[in-house]
Amino acid sequence: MHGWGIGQRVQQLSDGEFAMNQGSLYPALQRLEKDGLIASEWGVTDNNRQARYYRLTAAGRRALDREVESWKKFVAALETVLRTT
Amino acid sequence: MTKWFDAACARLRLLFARRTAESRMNQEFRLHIELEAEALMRAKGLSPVEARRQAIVAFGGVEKHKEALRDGRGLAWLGGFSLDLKLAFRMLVRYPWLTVVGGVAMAFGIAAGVSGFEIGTKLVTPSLPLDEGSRIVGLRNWHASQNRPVSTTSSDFATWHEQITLVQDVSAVTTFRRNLITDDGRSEPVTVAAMSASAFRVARVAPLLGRTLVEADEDPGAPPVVVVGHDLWIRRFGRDPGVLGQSVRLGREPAAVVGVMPEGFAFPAAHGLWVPLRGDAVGPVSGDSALFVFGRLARNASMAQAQAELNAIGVRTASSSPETHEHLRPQVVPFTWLFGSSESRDLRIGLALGNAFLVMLLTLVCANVALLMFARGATREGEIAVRSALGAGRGRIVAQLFVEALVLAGLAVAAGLAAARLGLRSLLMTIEADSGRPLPFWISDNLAPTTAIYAGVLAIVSAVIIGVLPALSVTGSGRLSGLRRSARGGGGYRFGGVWTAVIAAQVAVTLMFPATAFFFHRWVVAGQTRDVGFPAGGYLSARLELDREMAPGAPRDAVERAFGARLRGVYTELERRVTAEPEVTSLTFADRLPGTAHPLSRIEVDGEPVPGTAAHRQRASSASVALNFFDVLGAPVLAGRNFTNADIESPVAVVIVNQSFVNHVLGGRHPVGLRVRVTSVGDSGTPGPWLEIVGMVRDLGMVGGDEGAGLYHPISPERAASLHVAIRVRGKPESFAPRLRTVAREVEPTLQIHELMPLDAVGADQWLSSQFMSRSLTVLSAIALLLSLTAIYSVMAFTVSMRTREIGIRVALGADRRRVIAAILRRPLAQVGLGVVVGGILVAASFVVLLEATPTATEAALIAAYSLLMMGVCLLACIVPTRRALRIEPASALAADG
Repeated sequence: MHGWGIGQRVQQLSDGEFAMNQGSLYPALQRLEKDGLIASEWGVTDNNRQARYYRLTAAGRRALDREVESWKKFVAALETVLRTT
Repeated sequence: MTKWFDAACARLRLLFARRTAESRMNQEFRLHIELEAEALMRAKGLSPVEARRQAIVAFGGVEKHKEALRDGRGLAWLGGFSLDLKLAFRMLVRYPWLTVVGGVAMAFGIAAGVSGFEIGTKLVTPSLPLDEGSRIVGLRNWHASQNRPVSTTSSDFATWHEQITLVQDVSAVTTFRRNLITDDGRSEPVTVAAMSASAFRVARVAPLLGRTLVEADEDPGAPPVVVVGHDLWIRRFGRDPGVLGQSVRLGREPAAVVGVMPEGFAFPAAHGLWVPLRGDAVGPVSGDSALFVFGRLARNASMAQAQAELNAIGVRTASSSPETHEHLRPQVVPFTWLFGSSESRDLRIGLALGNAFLVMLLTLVCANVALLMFARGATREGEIAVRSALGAGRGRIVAQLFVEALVLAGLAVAAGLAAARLGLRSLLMTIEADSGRPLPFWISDNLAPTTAIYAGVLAIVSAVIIGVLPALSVTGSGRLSGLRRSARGGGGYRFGGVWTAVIAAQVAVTLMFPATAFFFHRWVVAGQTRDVGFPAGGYLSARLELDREMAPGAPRDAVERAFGARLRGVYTELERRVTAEPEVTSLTFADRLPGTAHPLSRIEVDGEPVPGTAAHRQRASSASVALNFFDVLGAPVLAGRNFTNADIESPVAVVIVNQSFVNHVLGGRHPVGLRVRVTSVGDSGTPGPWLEIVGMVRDLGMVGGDEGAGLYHPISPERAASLHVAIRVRGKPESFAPRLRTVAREVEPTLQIHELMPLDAVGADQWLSSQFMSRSLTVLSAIALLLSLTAIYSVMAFTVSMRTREIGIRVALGADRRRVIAAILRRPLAQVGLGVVVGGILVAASFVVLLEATPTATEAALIAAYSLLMMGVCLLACIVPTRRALRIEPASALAADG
């Protein structure tokens, strides 16, 4: 998916909860690419325009799983704390 | 691990593909904004223009994100660096005058620093431009108790040659002068090096033609051969390749040319002709001339190891011949130390101090340029404030200003190195001409690699002073107030009392610089045009030398007496033949010619009261001359009598004095019959013998004594320390010169003729170094002047332009324009006026003290004109911005940013 597409998707999926400053997406994408978690290549959109498409790499997938795991643990722990207080 | 590696690869890739990355980035952003705009148009039905605007707003700061991406590309500072470079060049072009002046000033400072460093390197650690030149070493004896080197004897050479193993190809060389007589009849003295054949192996230079010397040439019975140097081959043999096998004569001895060496070969120091080193025939009296021993360190041997081995040899020698070698310690030293490279600590200290001084000078120059930059940089405060608001860190801005300064410094370094090289060449040529001897081959105007590095260091230091320091102050704590200040409109710079002092000092120093150069020039001119009292242009002069022939084993004074008799005979014969020539009127000799420097001594007069006053001991020059000296120069004796034959052998030493001697030393008394003597001969402190004055002549160019006072001794030619002849010639003296050489050769082939020139050209060489200094001082003064004037102009213009708002308000309030101008100009003119007054006083004082003279009318006029020039420049500096300020509408002056 290209940069704008990613931003749109996030906005759709979160029902507008995450309406981020669109430009700041790109430095973040660059950081992820530098760390090898995503890869990019140039392609063509439906309207025949040049765009850069990003995809998750294997390492990125592993990192994603790790992040999701630690997030779930965090949420579970928070719920436990909130339930008991 | 691989993650880091991949990241590094990605970074490198990004780094190299920067331009592509830039355009790609722009493309990506553009697409994003287009897509967002389209989505907005669809969703909210906006117009294209409005949709695009909202898309951009939604995107956030485009430039900021671009910068973030650039930074993230790694080595972003390098990318910024190229931008800074472009900006720096643009800035330099925008202020051309500042660039030129600042660049010239820095080039001058760097050239001075570089020259000092290079001279130090050449003197202390010169490198030999030969194959592995650092491994060529010299061997010499050091006297342990007298703490100085002593001459090497041939037995030392033999011992070392036999015994040392860590130094290979141990060779020796000794030097003497001979007439080189070629088949075409030309006879000119040359410096000959009698050198071991192995020395050519030490130098590792192949001959251009023929062969070098070989061991076989050193056998006593071998045919005499000679190897010719490149210069000599061109000058005397006209580049003839058939020179091999030609027979020449060195003095009386014939020799065959067996080889020609390539250009630049002058081993061991500045020699041009080589003969084999033998114990006997072709060579000087052993013990007369110095023997130099050298060789090459064996592979993998160090100087320390060789020294250890030599120490052992030295101990053995000392114990076997204690009477000569008890105190001698043989040393292994760098090759150049044998021929005059200086090892003394004092010299090193002196050089270090000199270099430190030059670095301080550079710092001063840079401070001046920094001042200019600061004045310019301060007007960029607004730009800098805005830039830092955009997110540039302080370090970034300082880096930009540093790069600007570094670019200027880089240009200055290039110019400075070239200038240093030119200056060095000029200096070396002057030294050679002044001393009359060629310089060793390892001293040239090439700059050592360390010097280039030193120049780079100087450039960086200069850039720091010029760029970083002002930048730090401009971007300092006052960043926000800087914006506020430029919004309010200038006038924020208070140049108080310190500035007054600085400007006044600057002006005073600027006055002094050309004055110093002027004084020096005046002194040189005065010295050069000293009148010699007779028409020197009609005389040909030369210095005569006769080969000393060796008589090994003979007692010293017998040899000397024989030589003296021979010289007298040669001179007498030469005199007879030369005066018989049709163009020649007369011939005479002296140990020093008129117009050259004469040795000074303090003189006391017999019969005077015991000296308490300095007037009783004046200094006078002295010269030893032929009996017919005054007749030949056309200076008849004015009182008393001339020299006679009897005076030479007379037990009572007689002298003739000149007019100045009578006036200053004798106080105007009648000289004939008075007795004088030298107060102390050399350093001994004992007075010389009494001399009776028998006559007086007019002044004949005795340079050096108080007011030119001098006295003359009569001698016969072999007693002259240095035999100079003066020949009175009809017509031009130069035309007789070749004839003189021919006659001399016919009289005696070993008679060498040196320094053949008209008599009025004789003193000129002495002034070469002074002329060089005078020229240098003039150039330095011109540069200092340019720099100072520009600095003053800049600061003045800047301070006045800072007050534009003030001018505008005053005019708006109805002030008379003239009064406004007067108010603005009052302060700067006062500062400059103070500087001119101080400088003028200093100049006048130095006139009186240094030159002990009052300035002539033209000189006083020059000084006054110069002061007016300074004031004029300052007036101009103040008036131009003032007029500009006055022409502006008061309203816009108020609105202006200052």
